[in-house]
Amino acid sequence: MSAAPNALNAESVRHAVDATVSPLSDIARAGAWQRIEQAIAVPPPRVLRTHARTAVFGLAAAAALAAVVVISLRATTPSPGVPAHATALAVDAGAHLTHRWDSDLLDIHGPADLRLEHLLGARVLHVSAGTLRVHHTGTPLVVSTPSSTTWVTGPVFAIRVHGQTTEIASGEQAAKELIERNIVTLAPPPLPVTPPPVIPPPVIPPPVIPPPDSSSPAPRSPTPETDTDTDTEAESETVPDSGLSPAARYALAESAMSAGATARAEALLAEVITADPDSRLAAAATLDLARLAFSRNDLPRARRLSDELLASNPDPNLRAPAQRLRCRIQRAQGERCVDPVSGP
Amino acid sequence: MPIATARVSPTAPSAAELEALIARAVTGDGQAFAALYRAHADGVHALLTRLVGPRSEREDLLQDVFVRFHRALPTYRGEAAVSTFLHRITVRVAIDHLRARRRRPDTSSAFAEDVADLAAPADQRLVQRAEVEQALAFLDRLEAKPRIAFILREVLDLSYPEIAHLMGSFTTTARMRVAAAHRALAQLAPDLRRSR
Repeated sequence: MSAAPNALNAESVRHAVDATVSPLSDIARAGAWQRIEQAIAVPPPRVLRTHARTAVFGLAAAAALAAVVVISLRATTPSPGVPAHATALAVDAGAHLTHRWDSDLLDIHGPADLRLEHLLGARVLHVSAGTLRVHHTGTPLVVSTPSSTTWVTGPVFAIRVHGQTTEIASGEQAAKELIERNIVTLAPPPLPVTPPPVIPPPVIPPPVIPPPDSSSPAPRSPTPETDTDTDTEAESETVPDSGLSPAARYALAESAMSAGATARAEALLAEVITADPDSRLAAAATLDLARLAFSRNDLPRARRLSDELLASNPDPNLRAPAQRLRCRIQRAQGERCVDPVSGP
Repeated sequence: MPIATARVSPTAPSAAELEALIARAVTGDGQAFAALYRAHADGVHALLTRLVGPRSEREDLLQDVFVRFHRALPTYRGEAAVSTFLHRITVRVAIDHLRARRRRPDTSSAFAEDVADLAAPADQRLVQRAEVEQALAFLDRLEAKPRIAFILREVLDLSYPEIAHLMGSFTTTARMRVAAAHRALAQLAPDLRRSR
């Protein structure tokens, strides 16, 4: 007999799990209700006592465990609240630290607060604050800041995190400029607010050469002192993404989705679709856009996108979730839908 | 955050009716709670089946879910749909059950033989059963939380924020749990095929 199961993959697990669902029989429903009624008819003092006892033992055990952990990690943990598998780095204002992390070299200018971590096979660089340049030769790096999550693959990049503002520059020259621009302004002690003393001109890259037409506007200063949040946010949105492949953009979109930055995720997904509308990646991006629209209850857009995707005849791995999503949208719109996998 | 269930009840109460039932059930109205049970028992049972497998103890878990639901009713503030509130409890019950099942010898049985389409030819039924057994064997090798996250994502097509909400975790954690299950699937798939 040639009966052999297909290869095990997510789709086959989905079908198998859905196949196991059978209706609850009336007898089972009634029997369960009878037991529920009995259970809720009496107040649960014993259960409460058990819970209280469990809580007391739990608290005592947790306190003992915490004491052991604190004692054992005091000598090795660089800063509190850092998981054992992570490395925390804190650099004081004005200080400079070069740190090697695997095959990468981190050039950190204080004040800075960082955490280096291996999470499920990915290397994650958490930057709470600071300015640093990274010479990156190893596996792809996820850079997480208070306002963004970025997947970095380029060999050299610089990042500046200040409050909720993140600025990323990719490439040797752009990274150098970002470091110089910020270190020149950050390293000296704070200047008095009024009136500014005569300061020698800072060491900065040569100014932009004005165009030959002398009537043109004044050249833009390469060291903008008034660094507004919106400007740097806009830069961080665009600079690291330039020249990325659709696959890298999709990876960034996934990072943005997991970080809850849905607007950024939608922009990146739209770029993936624009780059190659007929690709499988574009179909996956369309499905994600539909999911995002559904999650914010934009049902017409979610429906239009899922319809577009289904009309494009995607491969089965996308078709099935698209059909399910379409069903969920229809149900949310008050329509009936027979799920193609789990049935009516 | 509606989770697709296997059946759509033609007499399902509207959202407003559910809210009214909740309000009455909180005050101790047994009939209102019974109506809530009737409205949601099928959905909870289907979700439990997907999460823990077609096991004989599902009816006990269904009972556990609704007893916990009854006790939690006073804390229900209406921020989420009743079904979502109930599904969070269901996920919690399923996790507890799966963890307990890993700690003790499994004396229950999965009904893989019941899932094949009886109208299908014998060859096809054998393949269907084999596929279900293979999938259940894979899921049984996973830890409770990656298993639940994987099913919520890949079977029920929930978004990561939805999974995180149901599991009471961060979105990133939910994502990592699904990724861990995928890696386990990639590693275990050849073993499972060989063991057949």
